[in-house]
Amino acid sequence: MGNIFSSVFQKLWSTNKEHRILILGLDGAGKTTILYRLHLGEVISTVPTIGFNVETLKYQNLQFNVWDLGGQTTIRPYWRCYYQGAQAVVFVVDSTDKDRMEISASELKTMLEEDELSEAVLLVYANKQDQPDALGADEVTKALKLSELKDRSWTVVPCSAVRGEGLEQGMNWLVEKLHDDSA
Amino acid sequence: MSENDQILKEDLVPFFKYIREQPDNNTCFDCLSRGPAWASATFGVLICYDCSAHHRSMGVHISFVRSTSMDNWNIGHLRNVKVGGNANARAFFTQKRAATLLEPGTDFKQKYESKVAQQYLKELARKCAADQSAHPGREVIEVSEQEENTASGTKSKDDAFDQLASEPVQPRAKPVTLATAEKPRQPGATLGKARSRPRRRRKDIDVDFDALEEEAKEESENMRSRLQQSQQVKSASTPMLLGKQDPVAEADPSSSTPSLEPHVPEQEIRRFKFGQTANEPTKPVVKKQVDTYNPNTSEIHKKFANAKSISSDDFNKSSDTDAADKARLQGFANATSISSSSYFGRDEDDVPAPAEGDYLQQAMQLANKAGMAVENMDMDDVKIMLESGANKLGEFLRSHLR
Repeated sequence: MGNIFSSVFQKLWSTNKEHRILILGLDGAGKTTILYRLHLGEVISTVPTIGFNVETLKYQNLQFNVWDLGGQTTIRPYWRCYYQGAQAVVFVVDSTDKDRMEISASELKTMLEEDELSEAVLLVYANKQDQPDALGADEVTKALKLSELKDRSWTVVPCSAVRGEGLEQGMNWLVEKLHDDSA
Repeated sequence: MSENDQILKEDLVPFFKYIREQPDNNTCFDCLSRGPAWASATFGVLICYDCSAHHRSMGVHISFVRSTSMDNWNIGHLRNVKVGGNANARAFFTQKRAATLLEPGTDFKQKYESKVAQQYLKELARKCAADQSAHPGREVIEVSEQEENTASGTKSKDDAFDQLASEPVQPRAKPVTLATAEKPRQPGATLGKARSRPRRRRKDIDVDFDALEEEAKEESENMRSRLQQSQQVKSASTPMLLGKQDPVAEADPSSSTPSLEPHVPEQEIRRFKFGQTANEPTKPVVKKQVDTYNPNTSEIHKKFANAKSISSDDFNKSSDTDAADKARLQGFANATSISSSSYFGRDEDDVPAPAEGDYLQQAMQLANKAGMAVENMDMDDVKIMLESGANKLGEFLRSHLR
């Protein structure tokens, strides 16, 4: 009986619940640009993130507490400090950076092996689709070896943060997944 | 590119130290600001944090940005920076009559997508190929290390901390200082500079404490030798003892201690010891510092032992002024405003009443005036003046007595 009440209560008041989301990826992938494109709706000029940016976003009645962590090589080990309680990971890849796809894949693998992220859903933004030689969603999926992820909901969404294309699609997927999880 | 090609950031510290010492590499290639800590790995030039943002926004196909302190690098990119560098890139652009592109404020895309930039990339690739035959693998950075070691003796360095590390050990620089100097240096030119100052100060303090300890030792030696004054044989052994225990003598035999010869009579030795203290200008000052410092700290410690936070107000306020303030403030319990003058008990409206001495002074002044005027005046005028003066005086006195 109590369970029914609480679930009804949760559904009614689900807007009050904040979802903790991490935006991760290699340096220069466009994490900060995506965060502020979502938050402000405009493209800001960013500098390399040393440390993190955090913003609260409201999207389709859901509140997101979004953490954008710096991607420089030596600060990637600190990502793990933010894993706890994260319900979703937004992994951003620079689709034009073919040379570093492998590094991207290994960083993603290391990250998803962590216990604290075992329940988190994974949204991959294949960013910089505005560039002529950007890899498509299928190529990114292959490069990141996403097919090897069996016990996780994931998706790859091609996007261009500077043009604002594809970001909404990714967020819609996230909202859907988080709803499913809380239901 | 696999992870194996990557050279870890930890191994790159000496490499980038060497790179930063090269001409023009201590300013940003784009905006000329000092101490660039980022680099365009593609063009092999060092740039600042702000300009790195512009490079990143162009995309990795134009310029691949790396941090010199926070990123791993691959060998090819390191080679670009090694054979390239800001000076070479500038020279190339200037030589190709594209010096205008080098001016700060030039559009980044215009600059790095220009024909000259493409030509420079080819030039860089050629140089890299030449370097690769000499140093095919990881040796790229190791060679730089060797070059750095040979150069360190002669080259004047930009980094203050490097100077500290490379300068010859002073006679007074004891093992403590050596240890400080040999600590692994932090990457980043600006970081190094910022650190150098506090370290220096610490070094001074360390040395001073040593000196004090030394002095104390000497004093105890003196005491002992005085006790043994009657025994002439033992007096000769004192300097030997000193020589063994004195860290200065151990650190550097060419310091001031060698003048201590084992067979000098005791009297002379003692005189020398006092002289030594007086000759070193820092010693008396240091002694003073330490004398005043210790009681202070203990007082502070007593005062704030149980306090969670210390504000400047708490720190400066002594208890008696505190009590006086409280007493003063109690008078304003019901007042709506407090001005500084009312707070300190000054009455603004009341003009101070002149004391009796003031009247006398005025009269004296008047009389003086009269005396001075007498020479130039008729007797009649003088009479009138004196009369009026007397009248005035009388009036003053009357009003005062009333």
